[in-house]
Amino acid sequence: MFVRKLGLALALCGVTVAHAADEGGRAIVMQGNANGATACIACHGLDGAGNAAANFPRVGGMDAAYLRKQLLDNRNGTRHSPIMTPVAQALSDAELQAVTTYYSKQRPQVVPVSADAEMLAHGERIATRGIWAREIPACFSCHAPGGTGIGAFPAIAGQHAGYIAQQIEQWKNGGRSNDALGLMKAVSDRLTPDETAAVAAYLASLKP
Amino acid sequence: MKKFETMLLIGLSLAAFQLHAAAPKPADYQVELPAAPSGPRTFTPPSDEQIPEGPFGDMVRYGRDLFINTDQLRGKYTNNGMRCVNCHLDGGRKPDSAPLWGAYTMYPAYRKKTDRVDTMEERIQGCFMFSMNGTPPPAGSKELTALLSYHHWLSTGAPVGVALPGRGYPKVAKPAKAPDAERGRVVYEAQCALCHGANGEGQMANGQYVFPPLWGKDSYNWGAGMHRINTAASFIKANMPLGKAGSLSDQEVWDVARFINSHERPADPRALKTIAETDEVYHDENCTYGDHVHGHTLGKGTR
Repeated sequence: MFVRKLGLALALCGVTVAHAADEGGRAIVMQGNANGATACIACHGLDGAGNAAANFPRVGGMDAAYLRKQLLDNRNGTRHSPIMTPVAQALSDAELQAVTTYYSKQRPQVVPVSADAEMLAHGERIATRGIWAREIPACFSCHAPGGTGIGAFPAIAGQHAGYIAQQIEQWKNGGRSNDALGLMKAVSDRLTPDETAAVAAYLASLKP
Repeated sequence: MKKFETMLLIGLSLAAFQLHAAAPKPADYQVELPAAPSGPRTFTPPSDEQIPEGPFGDMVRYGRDLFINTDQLRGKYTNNGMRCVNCHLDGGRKPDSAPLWGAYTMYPAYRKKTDRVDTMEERIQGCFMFSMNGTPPPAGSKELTALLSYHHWLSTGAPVGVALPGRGYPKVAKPAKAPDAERGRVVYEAQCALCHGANGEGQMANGQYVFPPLWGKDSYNWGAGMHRINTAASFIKANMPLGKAGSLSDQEVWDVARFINSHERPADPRALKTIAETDEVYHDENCTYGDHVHGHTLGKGTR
């Protein structure tokens, strides 16, 4: 009996701790912190939908470990961003953990964005088949069929087109160098601007 | 002394004959079809948009679908997590990735592995038996006809009986140091584990493998070409990591191929009474079958 009560108490404790962490994440997302981290909602929104026009990425529903790594890389400079680097530096490790956990649990209402049919078909071909004549593998061979993400490879379906194109440009010019084995650098260097635009438009047209 | 030598020779011949009678003759298959000539590629397969309408085109499209989404045959003709495109990239088009157009035009051919003249259908059935660890679709089945049709169509315009540049996997010369699994483990952890998993288990999404398992119960079996260290080294050099072909040194690809192929995998369907016997008959060269690794004799197979 005592054991059962103890178990229940511990379980409740666990729930409370997890709840507190969620609350902590939400508070930082809404208000930032006293060290100068700005509120995440200003750009990413409370549900993490981001902002297509401003190239602010959708982070809601993304893998927590992936988000955490991106903030750590913002901090250490392998993912340079004039906006995110100071924010990541102003967050403590615990706060960073809390906000990424919070966003990973959100399910933003992302409206897939359509585009010119020919462009979408071109993008679909790249995402599903690649361009092997120039050693470009299909996006989905690593990001999983449908672009839903797997392991270290983030979800790309339903991500904002402008943001995707911007990141490919960042890999090309070295602003972002935090990709495992330099895989995205290799792919980005081979993509033409037209191909980048087509594949970004196609990915943005998919449901997350 | 001459008499003694003669008797010794007779004795040895008899012993050899008895050995011969006791077990099938060695059928190790390290004699291969003509290697690809080096040089620029001379053949480009037609694009998918050119698949014709009508019954033949439908069969080609079905074959292409089976080749890419091979999971649909699991439990019927395949029995592991592998897909045709895992070893034949870009839907069987990519040069240096054993493209179908490089194989189709070379069959029928004598193969040491089977010690007979095999047709293309039989060659495809071999993939099902070994690489897919399954039961091959029978001749005349819709599945085999579809796959054969896809091979045929991809080879439209290719010369018959001529080894084309890009066929097979380009051979990688044996490296300076003998391939070593421990050095290979270091390469694996740095270059391969990201996708194929720390224990070679691959990675799944929605119940299907996105990254194929490289050893264990869902991988190719002990009879598959890829279990050969030389074959795996050649494949890796020309194709891995995906999008970074040629980035590993010759030494690294041999070492990592040895590491990958020093793990247990589904049993060789040709297995004889003992591992030692199977080893002698089928696993003479370039493989670890029958080796003792960490207290385990390789070749027993996974369950």
